[in-house]
Amino acid sequence: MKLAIWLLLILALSSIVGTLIPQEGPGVHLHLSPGLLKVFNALQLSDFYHSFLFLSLAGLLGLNLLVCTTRRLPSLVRSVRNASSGGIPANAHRTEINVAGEDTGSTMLKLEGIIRYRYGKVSREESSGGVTLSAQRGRHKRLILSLAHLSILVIIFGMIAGRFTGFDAYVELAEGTSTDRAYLNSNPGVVDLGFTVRCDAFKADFYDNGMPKEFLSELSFLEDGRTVQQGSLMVNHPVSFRGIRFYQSNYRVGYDARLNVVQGSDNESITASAGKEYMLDDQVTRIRILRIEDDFMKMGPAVQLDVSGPDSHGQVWVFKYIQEISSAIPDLFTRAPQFNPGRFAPFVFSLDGLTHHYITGLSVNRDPGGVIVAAGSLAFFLGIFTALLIPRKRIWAECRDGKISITVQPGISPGTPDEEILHILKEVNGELR
Amino acid sequence: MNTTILGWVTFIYLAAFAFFILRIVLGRRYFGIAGNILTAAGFVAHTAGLVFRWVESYHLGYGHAPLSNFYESLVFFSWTIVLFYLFVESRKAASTIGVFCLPISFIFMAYASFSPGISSQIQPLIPALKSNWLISHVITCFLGYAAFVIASVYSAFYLYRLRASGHAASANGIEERIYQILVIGFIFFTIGIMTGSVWANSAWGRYWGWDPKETWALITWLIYASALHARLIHSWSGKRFAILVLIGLASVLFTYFGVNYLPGLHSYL
Ligand code: HEM
Repeated sequence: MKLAIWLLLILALSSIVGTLIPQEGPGVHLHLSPGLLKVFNALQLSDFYHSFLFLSLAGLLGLNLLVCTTRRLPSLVRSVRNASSGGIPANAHRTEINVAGEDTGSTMLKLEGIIRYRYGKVSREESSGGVTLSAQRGRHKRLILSLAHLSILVIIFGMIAGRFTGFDAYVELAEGTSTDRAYLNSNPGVVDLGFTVRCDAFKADFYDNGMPKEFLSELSFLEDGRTVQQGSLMVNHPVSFRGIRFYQSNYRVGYDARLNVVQGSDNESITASAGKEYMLDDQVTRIRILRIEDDFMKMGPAVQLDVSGPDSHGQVWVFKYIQEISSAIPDLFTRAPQFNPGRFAPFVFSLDGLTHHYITGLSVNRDPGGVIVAAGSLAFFLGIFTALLIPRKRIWAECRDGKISITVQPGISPGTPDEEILHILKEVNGELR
Repeated sequence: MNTTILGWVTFIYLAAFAFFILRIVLGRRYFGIAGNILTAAGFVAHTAGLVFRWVESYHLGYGHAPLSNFYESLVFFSWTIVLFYLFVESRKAASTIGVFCLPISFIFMAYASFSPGISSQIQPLIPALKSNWLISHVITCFLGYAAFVIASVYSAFYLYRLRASGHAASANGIEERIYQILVIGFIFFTIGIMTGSVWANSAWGRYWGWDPKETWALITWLIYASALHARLIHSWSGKRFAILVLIGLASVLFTYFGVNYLPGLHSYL
C-alpha cells in the first residue's frame, strides 16, 4: 500500500519528462550534440511514453495492483458476509456505557433492536466471556472498490491490445480521387484497407471573420467497384466502414495547371496535376509536373516541368506572366536558362493559369482495444464513484463481565463516532421516541 | 453587456475579500456574514453574466456555451471556485476560508477582465470545438479543479494550524473536510478526463495521445490518487496528506496555465 503511493507518485513524476522533451512526430527536429543524442536514444526520451523505462513503471504499478487486490479479495468477500471478520480494529472508538436500573441482558436485547434498525442485519456471537453483537453498513464498499482497481488492469490491457492489433494511418485524397491504402503514422509503411474510399467532394466553410466554420468530405466506400456506403465526414463526426474509422483531419488546396505546348503549327492543351506524367503529341517526349506554385518567387503562377525527349533532358519553369517578367528583366534567359519556355525547342510552353481543388486529409485508424478501454474506464468510474459515496460503518456491542461497551469504527469517511454512540445511548435510555 | 457585468463582479469579490479580512482582524462575526452576502450576490451576478454571454452568442449567430476561449475559461474557473466555496460554507458556516478563496476568484476575474493580452470578445467555434463532449469535459474538469483549489486552501490552513498548535488534535476536523472535498474533486476530474478522451477520440481519432495537456491532467490525477491513498495509511495522513494536496494544486495550475509554454500540438484552453 505504501509502495502503491510511491509508484503513483513516481509515475506522475516521470510523466513530466515526456512533456518537457518534444516527442517524435511530424515536424519535430531535435538539435543536439551527438553525445546527448546517444543518451536520448538510449533512454528513448523522444518516444518516452513507449520507452522501456516508462512501460516498466506502468507495469510495476499494474503488478502491484494485481497482487494487492487479489490478496485482499478473499478477506473482502468474507467481510461482506460478516461484519466482525478480522476482529475489532485498533483505530475504532470504544465507549463503555452504563444503563441504570436494568440488567445487562435486557439492555443487550434493546441494543440489538436499535442496531438492527440503524445498521440492518446483526450477527451475534456468544463465547465463554460474553456476547458480541456486530453489524455494518456499506458492506459492499471495499469489494466494489477492489473490482474498480482491477478494471485499471483492463484499461491497460485494452491499450496494449489496441497497439498490437490496430493501426494509425493517414491519407490525402483530392476531390474525385480514390484510394485503397493509407500510410502509417508511426513507421514508414502502408496498410491495405481491403476496400476503396473515394472523396466525391470537399467543402470548407468560413465565418465572416475568416475563422474556419466547418470542413466536410463527402466519402464513398466501394467494394469490387460498387458503392456500398456513402457519408459526410466532418470534424468531430467520424465515419466508420468495415471496422476502420475515418476522421476529418485537415485539408489543403491543390492546383492543376492549364499548360499550352506549341510545336510549329501544332497547339496542344494539357490540364496537368503535380506528380503526373504526360506524353506530348510527338509520341516520344514526356513531361512530368514537378511543382505547381500559386505565386513562385513573387512572379505569379508557375509550373516546373521535367522534360525528357529523345535527345534532351532537363527542367524548365513555365510562368503565366512570362511576357511581363522577361520585359522587366531583358537578360533573364541568359541568366536563368531554366526560366526559358522555349528551352526545349521545338516545343514552346506557356501557362494559361491554375485551377484549384481541395485535397482532404483523413486520419484512418482501427483500434479493437478501444472498446475494452471504454468498458474498463466505465467500470472503474462506476466502481470508484459508488465506493467513494458509500460510507462504510461498523459497530460492535459487547457484554463482558457485566459491563457493556459499544465500539464504532468510522469508515474512511466517518461522521463523528462519538455522535453516533451518543445517539444510540439516548435511544437505549428511552430519551428518543 | 456581459463583460460589463463580469467586470463589476470582479469588484464585488474584492469587496467581499475586504470584509473577510475585517472579520479576521477585528474578530467580528458580522463582517464574515456581510462577506458571505456579498459573495453570494457576486455569484448571482456572475451567473447572470455567463447566461447573458451565452444568449449574446446566439444573437451573434455563433450560439455556443461560454467555455471556448481563455477569457471564458478564466471566468468559468472563477465561477466554479465561488460555487464550491458557497457550497462548503453553506454546510459549515465558518467564513475562515473566505479570506483565501475570494482573492483567488478575484484574481482570475481581474486577470480575465483587465489583462490586455486577453480578448473578451465572443468568438465563433472552430470545427474541432463543436462537440457536446467538449462542454461536459470543460465543466467537469473545472468543477474538479475548483474542488482541488478549495481542498488546497483547507490544506494550507491545516498546515498553519499544525504549526501554530503543534499537535494534530485541533486540526482533525479540517483533515476530514479536506478529504471529503478531495473525493468530490477526484470524481469530477475523473469524469473530466474520461469525457475529454471521448472528445479527443471523435476529433482526432485517438482517445489518448500523450499531448502535454493530457499528460499533465494524468499527472494531476495520479497525485490526487496518491493523496487519497495516503489518507488510508495512518502514518501518511495528516501533514503528508495536506502537503500532497498542495503539490496537486501546483500540478493543477500547471495543467491549466503552464502547459501552453510546452512544445505541444493543441492548446485551446
Ligand atoms: C492507478 C491508479 C489508482 C487509483 C486511481 C486508485 C484509486 C483509489 C481510490 C479512489 C480509493 C478509495 C480511497 C478512499 O476510499 O479514500 C482507493 C483505495 C485503495 N487502493 Fe487504490 N488506486 C490506484 C492504484 C492502487 C494501487 C496500485 C494499489 C495497490 C496495491 C491500490 C490499493 C488500494 C487499497 C488497498 C485501497 C483501500 C481499499 C479499502 O479501503 O479497502 N490502489 N484507490
